[in-house]
Amino acid sequence: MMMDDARLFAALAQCFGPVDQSEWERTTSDDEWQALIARLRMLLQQPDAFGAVEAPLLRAHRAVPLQEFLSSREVDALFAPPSFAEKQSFAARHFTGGLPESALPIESLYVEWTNDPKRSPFARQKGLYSADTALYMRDLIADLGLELPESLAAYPDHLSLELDMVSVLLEAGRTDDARQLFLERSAWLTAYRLKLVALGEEALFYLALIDVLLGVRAQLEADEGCELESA
Amino acid sequence: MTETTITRRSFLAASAGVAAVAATSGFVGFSAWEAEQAHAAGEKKAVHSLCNSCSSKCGFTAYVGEDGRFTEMVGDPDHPYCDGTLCARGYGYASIAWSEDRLTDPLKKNDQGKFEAISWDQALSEIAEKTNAIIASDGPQSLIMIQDPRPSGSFYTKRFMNALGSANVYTHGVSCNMSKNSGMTQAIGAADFTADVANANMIMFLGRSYADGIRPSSLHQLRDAKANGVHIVIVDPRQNASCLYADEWVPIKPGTDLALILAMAHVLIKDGKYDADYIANYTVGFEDWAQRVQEYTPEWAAEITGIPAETIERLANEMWEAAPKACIEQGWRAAFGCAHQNSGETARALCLFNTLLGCWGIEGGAYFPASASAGKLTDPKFAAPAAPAEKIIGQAEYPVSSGGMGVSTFALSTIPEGRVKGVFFYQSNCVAGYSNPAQLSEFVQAAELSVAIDVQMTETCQACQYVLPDTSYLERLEVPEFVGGKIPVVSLRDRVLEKIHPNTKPVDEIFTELANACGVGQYFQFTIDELADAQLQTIGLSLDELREKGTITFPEKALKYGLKTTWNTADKKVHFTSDACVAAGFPASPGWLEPLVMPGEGQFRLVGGKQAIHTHTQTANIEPLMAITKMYGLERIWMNADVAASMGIEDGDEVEVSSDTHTGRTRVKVTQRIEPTSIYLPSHYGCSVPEQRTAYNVGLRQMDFVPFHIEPGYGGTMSQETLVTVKKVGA
Ligand code: SF4
Repeated sequence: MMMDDARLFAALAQCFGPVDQSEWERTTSDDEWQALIARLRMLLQQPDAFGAVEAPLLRAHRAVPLQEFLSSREVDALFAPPSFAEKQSFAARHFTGGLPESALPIESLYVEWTNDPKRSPFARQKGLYSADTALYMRDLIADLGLELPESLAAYPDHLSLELDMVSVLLEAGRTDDARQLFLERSAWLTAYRLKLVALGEEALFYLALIDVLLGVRAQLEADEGCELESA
Repeated sequence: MTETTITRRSFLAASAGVAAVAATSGFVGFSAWEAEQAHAAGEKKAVHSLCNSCSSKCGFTAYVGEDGRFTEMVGDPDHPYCDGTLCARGYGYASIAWSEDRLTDPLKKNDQGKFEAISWDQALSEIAEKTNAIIASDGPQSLIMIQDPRPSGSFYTKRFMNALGSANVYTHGVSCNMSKNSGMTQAIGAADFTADVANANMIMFLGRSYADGIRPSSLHQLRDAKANGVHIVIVDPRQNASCLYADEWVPIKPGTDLALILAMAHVLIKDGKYDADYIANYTVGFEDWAQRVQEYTPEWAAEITGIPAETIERLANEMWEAAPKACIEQGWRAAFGCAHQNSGETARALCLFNTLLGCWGIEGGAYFPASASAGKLTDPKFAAPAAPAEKIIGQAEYPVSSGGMGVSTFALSTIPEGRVKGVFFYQSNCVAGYSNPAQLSEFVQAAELSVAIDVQMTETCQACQYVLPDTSYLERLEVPEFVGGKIPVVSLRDRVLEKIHPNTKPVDEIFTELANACGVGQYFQFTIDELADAQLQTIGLSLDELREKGTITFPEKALKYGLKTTWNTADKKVHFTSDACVAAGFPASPGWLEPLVMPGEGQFRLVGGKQAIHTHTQTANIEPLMAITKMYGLERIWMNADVAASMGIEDGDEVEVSSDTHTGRTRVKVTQRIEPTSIYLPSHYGCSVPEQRTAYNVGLRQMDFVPFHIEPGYGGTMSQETLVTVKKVGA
């Protein structure tokens, strides 16, 4: 079964956000998950396949691209997504705010609140909710005629919404916009991964996903560089 | 934002057709969006609210942009405490609303002692079940509530506890101004008065520093006093920041202010320098005190206080010459709010000394602010539960303590013996600040039920089983706040920001839902908006009107100066003697009472005190304020320069500070601005909660060095009754 990138990013969004049990079980069913991993493999090798609607000819040069971006323990974790109960338990301890082991996947917490001092007395401070990135995502979602889901309305730059927005743009055929959004909205993941690293073993699944996303990002950036050079 | 919330498969796609996305023209990248924002003018909405960074609750107007943020906060000129100016804490503390360290979900401690998010339904039902089980087995008096009073918090916590049948509602008083208020009440039937600083001829401050424990209007008074040529004397072990405005700093050994007052009274009474008419007509028991102070000569006091006898004599005479436009300022926490074994008696003596001066109610003397309040609510939906017949736990054991504040530390100490079984905290970091933290934490952890409600993890939350996430003060409406002053006002804390975390709740909702879950919801059948409006309607105002104005003054109730001749005591007189004090084991009129501990060779008394940019431990986690601490090394202890030289300690050295209860390391500021027997440790630091990323592990915590003990009779925490040694690390 082939998975397109719109579905891929929607599924990745689910990994970090609040979903119900049946959704999670559907997303992580064997077929779906194998398809997701296959698609990730492809993106790690063929950045020009990003958003391609037709299944491109696989030009896989390497058999094990995941290992180039993930530790072997992360690869194992990626192949064994958590059960719904495990996902809930992880979220109860780490996707909640104010604890030493909080690791909320919200971009605002990793970037400057704003770089315009006229717009806030707390400009340039990091570690505050509702940063400019959140206001930007909120505006973008509204401009595209979309609605913030209630459960994440307070966090428009939650990773789930950022990934889901990539998915929506891809599904709407706006591949370039999707690519630009992904590149812009994934830079903070380097800082976020350190939070997950600090959590150790139990965060390996999420760490693996972040490392894959950073891998895709690196490939897309490299691909953009090539295009610029050849232009 | 828990996993219990059910959402769609795709978070965004299902909310509008993808076709619509395909059809919209613009996709704006982040840089383009940023550029647009820089040029967007946008309307700004003015919202009135009250600061929450300290208990002054200054009124301000926030200007909120279309992006939901505010760019400006302006102090309200009519608010009696802010007088048009906010302090640095007021501005900096606003960032708490967006802080990464905010609690976002209800939490419950799991078997490994770690917190996990749970749903509100689970939290409320489990807490209610345990509460009702405790009531069934031990009665409602085995439940206690400790809260740091704020407008809605005071209303809802009391109503909730009374609805359950418990009288046990406590404030933070034991570690603040409890002894002062209680001692004053024994003398004058009032817990406080206000020195008319700007209009006086002479003012003496005992430990209190308007420029450190800031209330803007008080600082303005001090500034005006200096401009008006008022003779300002500051008596303090430390040359505090207010000394910039003073004529004289009089260093004193900590815990000996009572000796100074007694000796000054001795000087005046001996020479017949007191307002004999006032004393004859409006007081009782003067002879007893006159007799008692005969032995307290300036020479006697000089030995105890470290202040030369001539200085004591001179100050007493200067006060008399300046009278009646003179008084000893009322103090708050610093020297005798809760600091020593003799704090309550110091406050009592202070009022009696002022009585000698005949200054009560006089312009330039000591006045009692005019007040206003809401009327009684008659609509049955606001009917309050009956007040429990029992007294608050601790009242019998500390008979001259203020019942309105309560000896919370004593109540907590009864947990191990099973007298108290359940404890609630609302916006109170009791464990870190009310007495020895290790001991308090142990008490709380021994409770069958412990619940803390706060915006961020604190030492108190850490000790509890359940933590409920409060909204920040910027995200909620509260009941109207009536504030006394020369012109009393009513002011409002309104919602400045939309709720940031959807799973947090404001205090009114939390207690309403807890009450419903506990089966006493009949006392909470109204919204905060309805309650606030109903209270205002009793005085001919409305919530809309107060929202519009923020602060409304009552000029018709303005203070009128004039000699105060009736008092809120049984016989309407000032009491030089107190039967209640005798029953509590004190002399009828205040005499010398030594501090609990006196430093021996190589020992120092540890004194605390605020810095202008922090409020106790509440603001240490605020990054812009902590940045100032770090820039100036404000977390350092202070040591007298001569003493330091004799010990081979230099400015900036790392030192080890030890008491019977704790040892810790920090750096030292070597200065002549502190008398030789004291070490000053600012009261804001030493946070032990890793969740407070900014405050964690910066400096030392004063209360770690203080043993768990309680001031006899008055109930204060005796925050300065501890001795420390200091040694240079590596020496
Ligand atoms: S004195 Fe400062 S911290 Fe206190 S309420 Fe006023 S502005 Fe806020």
